[in-house]
Amino acid sequence: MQIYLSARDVRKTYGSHHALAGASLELYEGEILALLGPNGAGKTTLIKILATLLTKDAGRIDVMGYDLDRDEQEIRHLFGYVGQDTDRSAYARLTVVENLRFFGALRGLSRREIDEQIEKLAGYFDFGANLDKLFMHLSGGQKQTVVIMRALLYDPPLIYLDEPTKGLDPLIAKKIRAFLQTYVRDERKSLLLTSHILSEVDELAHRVALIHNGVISAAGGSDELKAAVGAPHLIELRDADLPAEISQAIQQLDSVTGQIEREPGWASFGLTDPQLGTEAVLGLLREHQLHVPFRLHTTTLEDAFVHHIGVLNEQFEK
Amino acid sequence: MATTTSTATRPNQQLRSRSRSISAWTVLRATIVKDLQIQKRYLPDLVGNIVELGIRVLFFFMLSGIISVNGDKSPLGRDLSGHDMFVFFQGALLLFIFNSTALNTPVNTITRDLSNGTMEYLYSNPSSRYAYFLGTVVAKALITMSIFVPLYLLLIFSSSSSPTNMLLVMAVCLCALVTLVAFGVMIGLLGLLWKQVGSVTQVLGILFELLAGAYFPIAAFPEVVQYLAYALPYTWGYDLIRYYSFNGQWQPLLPVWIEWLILIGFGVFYTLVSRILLHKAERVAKRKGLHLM
Repeated sequence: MQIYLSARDVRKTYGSHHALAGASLELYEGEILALLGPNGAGKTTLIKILATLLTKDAGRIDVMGYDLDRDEQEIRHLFGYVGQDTDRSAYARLTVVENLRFFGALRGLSRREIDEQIEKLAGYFDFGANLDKLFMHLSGGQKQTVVIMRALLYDPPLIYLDEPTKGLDPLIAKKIRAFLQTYVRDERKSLLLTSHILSEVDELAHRVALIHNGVISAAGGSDELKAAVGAPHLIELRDADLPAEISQAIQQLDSVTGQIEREPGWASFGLTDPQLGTEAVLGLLREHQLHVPFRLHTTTLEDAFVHHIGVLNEQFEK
Repeated sequence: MATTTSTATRPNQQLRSRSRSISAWTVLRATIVKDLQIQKRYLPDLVGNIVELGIRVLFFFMLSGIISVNGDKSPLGRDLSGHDMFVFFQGALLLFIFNSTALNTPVNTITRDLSNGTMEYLYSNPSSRYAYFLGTVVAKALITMSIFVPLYLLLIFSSSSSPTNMLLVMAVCLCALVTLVAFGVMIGLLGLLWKQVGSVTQVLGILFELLAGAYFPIAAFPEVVQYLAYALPYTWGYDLIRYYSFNGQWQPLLPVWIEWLILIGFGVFYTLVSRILLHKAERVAKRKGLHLM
């Protein structure tokens, strides 16, 4: 599988603030890669550098065989970009079609090509009824749809989306996610997105890159990142009702991988198998005639994210 | 993910995007069409401008009946008063109506695009940004033409100048307009670097109105002020318009051919400076983030 985008040791400083301190990532053909990180981690800076809106201080970026330092203009033909705050990012007093025709013309598309693309994309989004509305009269979700349509108007093989569903209601966000999944699969595109919505990333992304303090600290499939937490399935027992010796005994069970710190007030134990593990732990409690409130938990991307950031913060403090 | 990978290679035809490089002319044309479409939805603005112009003309018509410039300070060789004064003022109005084209439109465009986020789109796209900025100013100039034409016709009717000279007045206006458009783009690009450019344009607007001889002949100014006036493109535009409006009776500041050269020189100068400034503004903005962040 081909690497469409490769960023190596990218650095960017604003004054004394290191926004990127050696970020590296790769985006493969047909892949959805999510860039995940806390506020100020460097997600938007990296995506703006890739979108040629900011220059990097150091590092190397190759996009489909072009070097960003040398071939910026060629690279601009290859990606579609949607930044944050799309609420006002088109001309308010132009209709959707007029906006898209103007932006399409700047991409060298003929009127016929633009109209064909508008029809195709409007079909994907079921957006035909809104095409003649002024941009200023659209809802937030509709405006976001227009801006995504604009980014895809010229069929770029790479798509960069900076928090594409930020501030949208769940139904529209779901519709956009569904579209992106279908579009990337059917049109063989590669998508790099940033998001704070972990469930969205879990649903959409083939791989996740965790960025923290300007460095990509971990990258892999969602399951790989979850596995790093310790176990994919947990049984959690209320701490206050669990004697220490029972806690020790649970950790000795074959189907338990160990104790994990996850949430204050709860003792979390990793399970090799959710069913067998749960039966074994509950059996042990029954043996000791203990009634301890418990709950089952499947490790989420949020757990992986919190775990990674926690580990990184510890390392940073040391 | 993939177990075998290969490094990035140039995209094949199937994967290549439809995006193509386009000429600056295409960008210019698309931008003008876009801005005219937007202006179509702001028709009350245009009506307001026409009403404002009508009031200005009426004001200067009344003013020309009550003030005069003595013959020794008048480049006309006689007292500048009454009908002559009205023609004098009309010469100023012909160029002055393009003031906002030169000063406000580019800055407003950049401010609006920056705050709206359209600037991000323009900067991540391979088409000419210079042509885009130029297009917004040209569109505004075209819209202003709708109030220029009646004003020009009024001058034809109220001036006793020959048809050739009136065509030369038009030529001066067009040349001055090109200069002002380039000047406007230059000012607008400063808006990429400094948010405070808006206040600079206000000062420049006052200078253009008061110092360049719009309302009083340059010869009536103190000598130091006269030298400052020579640095403004409007000064030469006003002077040439008056020279032709008064059928050659107006004593120009310099020989007419030199004034033409200065006016054209300003146009070339501002065009070159604005192009250089665009590159510099982009480089700085992309390095520091500035508003583009």
